Amino acid sequence: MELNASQQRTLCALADRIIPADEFPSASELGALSFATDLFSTDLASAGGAVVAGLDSLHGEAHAIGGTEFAELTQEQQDALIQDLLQGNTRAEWKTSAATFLRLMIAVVNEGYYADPDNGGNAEGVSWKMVGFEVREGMRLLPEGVTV
Amino acid sequence: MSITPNHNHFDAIIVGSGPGGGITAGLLCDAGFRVLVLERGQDRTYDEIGRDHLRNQRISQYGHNGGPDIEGNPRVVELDPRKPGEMSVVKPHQGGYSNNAAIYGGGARVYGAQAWRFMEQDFRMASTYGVPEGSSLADWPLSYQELEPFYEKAECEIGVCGSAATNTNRAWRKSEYPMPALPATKAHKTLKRGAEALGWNTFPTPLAINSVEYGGRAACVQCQHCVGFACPSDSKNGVHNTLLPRAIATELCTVITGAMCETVDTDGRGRVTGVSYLVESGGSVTRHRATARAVVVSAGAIETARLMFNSHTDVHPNGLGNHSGVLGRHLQGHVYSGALGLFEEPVWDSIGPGVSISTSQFNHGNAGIVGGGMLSDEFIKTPVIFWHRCFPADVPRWGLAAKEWMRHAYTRTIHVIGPIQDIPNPECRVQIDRGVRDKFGIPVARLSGAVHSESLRTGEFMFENARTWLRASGAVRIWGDKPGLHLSAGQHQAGTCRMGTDPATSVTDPFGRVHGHDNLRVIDASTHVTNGGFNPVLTVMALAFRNASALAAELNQL
Ligand SMILES: Cc1cc2nc3c(=O)[nH]c(=O)nc-3n(C[C@H](O)[C@H](O)[C@H](O)COP(=O)(O)OP(=O)(O)OC[C@H]3O[C@@H](n4cnc5c(N)ncnc54)[C@H](O)[C@@H]3O)c2cc1C
Repeated sequence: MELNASQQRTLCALADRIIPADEFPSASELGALSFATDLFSTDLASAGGAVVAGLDSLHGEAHAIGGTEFAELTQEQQDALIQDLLQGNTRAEWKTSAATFLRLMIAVVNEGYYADPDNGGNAEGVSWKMVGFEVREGMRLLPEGVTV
Repeated sequence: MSITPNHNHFDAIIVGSGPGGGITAGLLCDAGFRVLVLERGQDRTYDEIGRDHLRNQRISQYGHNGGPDIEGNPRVVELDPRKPGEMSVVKPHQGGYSNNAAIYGGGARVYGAQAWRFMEQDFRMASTYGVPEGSSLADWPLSYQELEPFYEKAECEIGVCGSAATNTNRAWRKSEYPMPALPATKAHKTLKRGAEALGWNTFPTPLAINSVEYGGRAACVQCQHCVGFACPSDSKNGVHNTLLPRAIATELCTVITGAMCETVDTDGRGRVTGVSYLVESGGSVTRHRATARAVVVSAGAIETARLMFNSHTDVHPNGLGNHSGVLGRHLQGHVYSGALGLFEEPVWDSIGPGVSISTSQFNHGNAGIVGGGMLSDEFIKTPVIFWHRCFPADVPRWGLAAKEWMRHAYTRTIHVIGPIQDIPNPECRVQIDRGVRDKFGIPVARLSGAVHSESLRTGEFMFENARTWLRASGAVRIWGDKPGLHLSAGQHQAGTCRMGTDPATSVTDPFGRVHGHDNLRVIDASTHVTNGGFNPVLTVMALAFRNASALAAELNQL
């Protein structure tokens, strides 16, 4: 999937509303952009075209409500727009359903963020540290009655 | 692995290297027979199986790690049981495919290793409960009594840990498990307190995992990637690290991986002569034939039925073993039922495999319920599984609220769940679809049907029990869904070559001998008449020990 600069900005901004920054990084800070572009070029290549079109439509929606691109809207405007689109209320032209597009993006961004770092969307396993999923190896408890 | 045979006649050919096939290979080689094992999957190392959180046998978003290859191996399935006859072509990692695995060692290469014995009543469901309308509930043609020594053999030779002494709702047994139970996790202790308050008996979940060094291999390192992955310390016991290496060590066993059996071949009278198989290598496919005194089909419940259909001849136009139209019917797995509970304090200590405590309080003896089910806490969930499957319906899946839920709930949630005794029906079935072919041109499996209403009723009953257990254990919030209408098969698939004494209602006799074909055996989950209210693999293994020993005793005469 090839994205132009404007589509990339839209994707980053959308990913960061799906998983915003707080004391832990946002989705784009952990690699959402490259995770999503890789996935939509490989395993989900069949959805790549629809995603590009969806990002353009989201751009169109932002213009319709704020006269600017999605990344330039306030966070409140972005959230309200996402909510609205998930409910099927649209202003711009959509080739496929806006809600379907957003549900797909929500799943993909979360998959990248919470999957293993090798998938590219969870740099250094930061989300795992955040939730408390530790990868440890080496027995820590012995069975009852067993001593070393 | 590809050890090319320098001869193509064997005492026995085994199709499939899973629990059924692997044990059969081990026992036949022990008895001095020359055996060929054909496995369509590859022999993958721990590193090759990997730890991809989006592509494994537990969550297969974009692929998986235990086969079959996602291209070239479709099935045709009825995705919505409310729309019978509406068929879809699906890939192995997609919903509805009912995949187990296709890899050297079969499902047990990447399984969760819960190693359960069925209870005595599980072998006589029809006598105990009667036959619900529309179901094909039946007794097994053998009793727990007959299988007990083989359960013990399976537990010792494969290696199972547990504590029979603490389980008060189980079948009688001659001996304790060969290894002590794995240690109790924090979730285990939390749930134990709840169960005690309710007066329910609990015990450590039996697992085919080394809790101590066993069979020359190390003890479990308690990692977080057990179910759906391979074991970093080789402490998870399947056939790939027990019976198959033992067979190979005799030098009597030839294993060919990447070998897809196309047909079981028969002569004009219907006597089995051998198999035809295909091997793909470097982009080209070669066709081979091997002959043997006996053929054992151990391809897993769906693929075994598919192979038997595809082995049709003029003498057996509907497939081998399908003299009565029973082949492929009574397909069953397990309806899973359970609930999730949120606790105020963390209940997680990151100690794998995660599943640690179980109750068999509700497997039988439930007023108004046909059978019942077992409940356990769940395997460790990867965070991405938690995101996909563990959100209450009213928690948003995006935004700060979703992130906060992940952060708060991941270490504070316990999932209590278990398999219920499926009530089989003949409309759940495997057929073949001549219009859709795999990459070799072989007609693929076609799956249709939906679980019996009694299974859903038991599902609701167990859903309430799971909630009760969580509440009594201190959960402050409980959620989850009751099971809905679907085809139950998947990783616990069974039943497609039902065994019995009457050829009119069964495919094989009580030893897996296909009626009318003395030298053709089915040794895998296909022969299960019912599938118990427990994970099935130890029963697959015990039956394999029993039926492969019987084959070894008569192979010279076949
Ligand atoms: C992730 C996961 C977790 C599980 N957890 C548990 C658990 O905790 N407890 C439990 O009891 N069970 C569990 N299971 C299920 C368990 O693995 C199965 O019950 C068991 O593997 C069934 O054994 P089988 O011999 O019937 O078939 P399989 O294991 O399916 O073996 C059949 C083999 O035959 C091969 N094959 C098929 N067709 C052909 C052909 N035409 N030619 C050549 N080869 C062929 C397949 O590739 C496969 O390797 C789990 C399974 C999975 C995948």
